[in-house]
Amino acid sequence: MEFFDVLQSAFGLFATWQNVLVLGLGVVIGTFVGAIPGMTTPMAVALTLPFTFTLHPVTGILLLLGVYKGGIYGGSITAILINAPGTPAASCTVLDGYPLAKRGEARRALDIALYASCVADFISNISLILFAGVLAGFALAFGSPEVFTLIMFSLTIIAGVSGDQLLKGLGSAGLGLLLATIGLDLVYGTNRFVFGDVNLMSGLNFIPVLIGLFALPEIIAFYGRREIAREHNPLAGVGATFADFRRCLKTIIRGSFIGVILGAIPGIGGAPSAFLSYSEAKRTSKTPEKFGTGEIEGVAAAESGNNGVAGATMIPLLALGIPGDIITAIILGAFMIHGLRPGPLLFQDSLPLIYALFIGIMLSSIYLLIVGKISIRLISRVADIPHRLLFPVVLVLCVFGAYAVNNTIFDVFVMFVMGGVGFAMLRLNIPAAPFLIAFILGPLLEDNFRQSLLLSRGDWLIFFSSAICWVFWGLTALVIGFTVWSNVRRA
Amino acid sequence: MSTNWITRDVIAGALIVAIGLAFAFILIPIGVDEPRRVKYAALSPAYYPRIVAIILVVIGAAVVARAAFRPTETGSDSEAHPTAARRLLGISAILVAFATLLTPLGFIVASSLALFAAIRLAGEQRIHVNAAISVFLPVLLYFFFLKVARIPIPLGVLKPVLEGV
Repeated sequence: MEFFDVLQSAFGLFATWQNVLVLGLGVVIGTFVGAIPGMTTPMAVALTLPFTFTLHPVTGILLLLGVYKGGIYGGSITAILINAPGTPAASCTVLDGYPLAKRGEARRALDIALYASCVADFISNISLILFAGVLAGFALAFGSPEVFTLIMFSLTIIAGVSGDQLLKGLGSAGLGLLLATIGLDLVYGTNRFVFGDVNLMSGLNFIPVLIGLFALPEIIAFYGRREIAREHNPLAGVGATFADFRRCLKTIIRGSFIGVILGAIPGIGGAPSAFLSYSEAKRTSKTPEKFGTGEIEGVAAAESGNNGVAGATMIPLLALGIPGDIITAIILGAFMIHGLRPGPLLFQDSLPLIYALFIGIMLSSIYLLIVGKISIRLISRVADIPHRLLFPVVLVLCVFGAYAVNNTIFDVFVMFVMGGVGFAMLRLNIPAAPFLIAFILGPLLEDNFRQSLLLSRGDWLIFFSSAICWVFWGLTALVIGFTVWSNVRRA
Repeated sequence: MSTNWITRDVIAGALIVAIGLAFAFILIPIGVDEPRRVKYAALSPAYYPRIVAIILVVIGAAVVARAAFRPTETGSDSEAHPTAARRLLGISAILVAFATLLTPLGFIVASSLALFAAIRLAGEQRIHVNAAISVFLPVLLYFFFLKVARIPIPLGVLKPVLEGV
């Protein structure tokens, strides 16, 4: 079949009112669900899955893709407004998004998060369409040692988010790494810090830990303030300007490509990509000291990093039939329910269907912009609610959200305990961000470390066995060297 | 310069050391089930946590040493004010009571009580506004999670009233 014939058939498959409507509906559902702490994007996609059974394959898969993309953006809304990211991928957005909201610039932060998300999503979709084959091949070159060195490099961001508390930041990261080891050991299947409690066997869930560590201390600290008053900020209530967008554009494009590359590697996900993008933005910024205190570029970096992953995670799924994360695994399920098997054969047998999906995916970026703009107008008013009402409401929202993740009250207790830990860290000037980064990246680091040693039969040289490993070791050494040098100079 | 620098940094460092030591010598030996035969030491389930624990001890000691030799300036302690301290105590009591009452009373009742107390403590004087939010929000959240997200929220004492609605 000629290219234009395929394209014509694809348009024929896509151009139905159901597809156009369902895709928009998916983005709305995803944005809404992503904005609720505790309601994760995989949960939203899984809840939507049964509705796709009776739909045409293209319609059904587009609905799921809409939910997915909306969910990734939606997670940033609560991250910015109440310091509780709706999704793990949005965890990096809290670092600068919430300080901006605290200054009254929530609308500006939400706007930049939306623009960064849309641009990154668009770049990611284009990359999916144009470079699926090349990126799938590159992703296959990533084995355990390569992922281990990549995560080592990603962990260097800890130095960046620790500010002038580098030692305490490292201590905080160590605590996060230790907490991430709770649960069943993946290699031997033995217990680690479970102490007979079945709730601990699968480890601590990310969402209650995150809500406890970030949202609860903020609530407690609010009650500890001497005067509960707001400072006037001339930018309060004002959205992002074109100048803001232009200033962040380089960061957004860089973050998008980081997202595309990491998204194409199965098992990495949006959170490491957001942190890496943030780290690069800070490293190359003329005012790195402003990161973490409410820098608009920080929000742009985090959001472009995590949204850049959205289209790219479809690359290993469509090109190789490998789901890179839980969401793409659910989408793989949707394909299979409709009798389709993603992989090279799908490109041979059902090319018009693939192209119809590509058209829908491109349209989803536009939907994201429209839905985002409308939701920002409504949601940014949350920032105007008096704190004496907002913080108690957020507390109850956190409790319901923590419970909803696994339908277990244990997660609510974890959230409360982590709230206490987070508040103690706040009082002792121990930065919480390194804890969070280590907690997310820790399992990836350890799993790939041990898998590599299993593969090499204990030979540590496996971590230096490929060019990719050497590149990441080199980058890691460079960042550590630079950090030490700048600390020594400051001293 | 604030006088509490030494307390904060030394406490932070000492805590990090204590956690590292607790993991290395107590929690890892009793909490990690090591298989009888491990092919390579690095594959043991205790290997990675042990390394992290040792690193924690070193970092904690460095924090203490730094605090002792090179004190850093810290900001004033806003929580030292009596009103703020009272409010802090109040919210801590609300959180403990909230966590304790969740199971016996259920999410709606426990949340309503906690919300009412927390809003009052934050300074909202209008009882009708406080009561309206405290009643409607938990009920709204309950029905949202039940009907939209299909997640049943524990009802506790309201089970006979709301079950089946």
